[in-house]
Amino acid sequence: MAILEELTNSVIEGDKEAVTAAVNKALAEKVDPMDIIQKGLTPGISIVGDKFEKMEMYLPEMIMSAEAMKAGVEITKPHIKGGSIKQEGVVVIGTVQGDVHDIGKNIVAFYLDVSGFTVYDLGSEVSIHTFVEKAEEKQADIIGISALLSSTMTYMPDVIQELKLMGIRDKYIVMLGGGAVTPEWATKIGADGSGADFAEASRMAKELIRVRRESK
Amino acid sequence: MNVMEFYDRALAGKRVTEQEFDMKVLPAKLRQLVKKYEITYNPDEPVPQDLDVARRIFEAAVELLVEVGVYCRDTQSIITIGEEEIRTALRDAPARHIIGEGTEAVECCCRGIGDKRRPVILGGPGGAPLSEENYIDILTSYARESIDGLHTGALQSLFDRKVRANEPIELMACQYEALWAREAVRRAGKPGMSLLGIMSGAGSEAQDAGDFPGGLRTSDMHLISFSNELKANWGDFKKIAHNQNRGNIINACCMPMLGGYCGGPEGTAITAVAEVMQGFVMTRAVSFDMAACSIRFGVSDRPVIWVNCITQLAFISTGVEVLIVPFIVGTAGPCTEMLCDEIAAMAVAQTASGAFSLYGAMGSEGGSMDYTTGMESRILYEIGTAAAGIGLGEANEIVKQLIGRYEKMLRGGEAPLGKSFTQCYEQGLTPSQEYLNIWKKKKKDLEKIGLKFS
Repeated sequence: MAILEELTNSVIEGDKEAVTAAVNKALAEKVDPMDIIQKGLTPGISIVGDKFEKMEMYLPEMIMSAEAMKAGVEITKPHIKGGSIKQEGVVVIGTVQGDVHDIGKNIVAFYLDVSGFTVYDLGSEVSIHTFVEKAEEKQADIIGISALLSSTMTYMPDVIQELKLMGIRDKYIVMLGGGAVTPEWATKIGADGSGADFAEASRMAKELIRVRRESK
Repeated sequence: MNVMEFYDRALAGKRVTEQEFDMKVLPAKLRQLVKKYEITYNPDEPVPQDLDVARRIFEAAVELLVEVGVYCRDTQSIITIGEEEIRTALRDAPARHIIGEGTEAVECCCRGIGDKRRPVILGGPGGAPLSEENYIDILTSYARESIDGLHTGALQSLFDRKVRANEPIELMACQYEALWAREAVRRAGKPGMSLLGIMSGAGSEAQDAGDFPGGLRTSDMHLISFSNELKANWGDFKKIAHNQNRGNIINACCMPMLGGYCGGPEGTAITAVAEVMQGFVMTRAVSFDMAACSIRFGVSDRPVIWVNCITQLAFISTGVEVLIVPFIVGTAGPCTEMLCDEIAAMAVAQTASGAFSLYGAMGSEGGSMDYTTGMESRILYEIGTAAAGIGLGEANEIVKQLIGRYEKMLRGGEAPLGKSFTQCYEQGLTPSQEYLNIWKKKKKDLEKIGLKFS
């Protein structure tokens, strides 16, 4: 359908006005609202995500595409009767206390958001207790902890220890990221996984949630 | 300009949320500047050939810094910087400076494109994580090589206690870093060699605590590293005040991220040049460490090599003499052919582009504990010496061949981890025969593509 293709291309181009116009046109033409999202908008952001992973597109372009897509989803949502938009999971994410280096965490948070997660970004220098409190408050699936420095990475086990002390360790998938983190470190401190970058983090988050849901 | 002036500007500056600055203000201005100044990146020229592009990047960077300013994270406000302030700070920045003391004193001075003088080698692990068990040995392995200054590493523990940010152990680790680095250069018979630190702590109090009798001296290089992109915080202000008032040699630093807020190579190049300007304006630094880095593919990736080279050329081509040090950081680990190729690509590109100094070299992206050895600085020194005198055109042909050897592994996530210090230096402070053989073989390869080793 030409209108769905137009939607996809407008998302790729990050053209918010074009997406808005195309969604309104599609709704006027009685296109199924779920198709607008799943066959028009979502393929666009998936292509952008793929290009971002290959560094053929960059963060500013992806931000524009994500904003264009969000605008389209907001217009479409009220027209959806039955069915629901696929939700990958809920993530609380932050850079651990003592560490102000947050660009990598910001990119991961943004990428998880465009990949279908609901993301609560707690910012940088996040205390151990805040990670746990926010995870409980937001009923998160994943707690994402980032650290660039080896001297702040040492706070990561404290979050896991706090979860254990509260008897809620098994409620959450704990993922680590940041320049200082290795998969060996993640295993050693009892985390569920780690990602070298935003692409790996997103893939791993989806996989860990899939495994958890299947095991229930 | 005095740090107090910037403090006042931060307090009085226009309030903007950090997200607004990162996601909207900076990217929008960069998109406009890339178009206005017609900045283009040609993947066939990782070593830039067109100096007009470099000159336009310089002017675009001035406009970026003037129009966007520097973001203060503590006040969530904009620190404004005027065009005349930028040009004055660059004029006032030294074109030559002495680091270190006694017989190890070294003059750092600006080089030109294709300069026949070899670059100064600031060897060392460059902040890579090191165990306390191997700390002195690793630094000594560097200090024994033909290096002109020693960039320290980050201690992971102190007397079996994990180093943790903002706790007393962080400050003590910073002090022991300075003590043990001084011990390493003494063991190498080079007590006056300039150190560059502090790397074991992030807090300003901890870093400044490295200055004490027996620790860092005023003749050592003191690092002040700003956050990405175009940012500063109170910790930076404290470090500036401390180092300026103590009369320390200041070495400012930033690592712009290609693919992040500044977008592709063109926007990253403008940002990188603006961040060099920020460093000289705000800190009165003697030199600036520049290490643009891809958010996915490290420092040795083709467009990143271009960004780091054109940053040098932006200043050289406009006649601005400032000391900019490029980080030479590979993704592969020690004792691998890939790391030799990565070091060679970056070192040849930078030496031809007029870098006064080369930093490192580091492997494993400086991320794995004790995966760093003095042998990487030996390789860097030999390549930097062999590449001196090579022009931009010849360098580009050499660098393209080198990138071609590792690009697929780099982008495919297949860079080998290599070997740790204790595996590479099996018998005390001598590199293993395996590592020596790899380098011997790679030197022959490099000679075939145009490098001449003495």
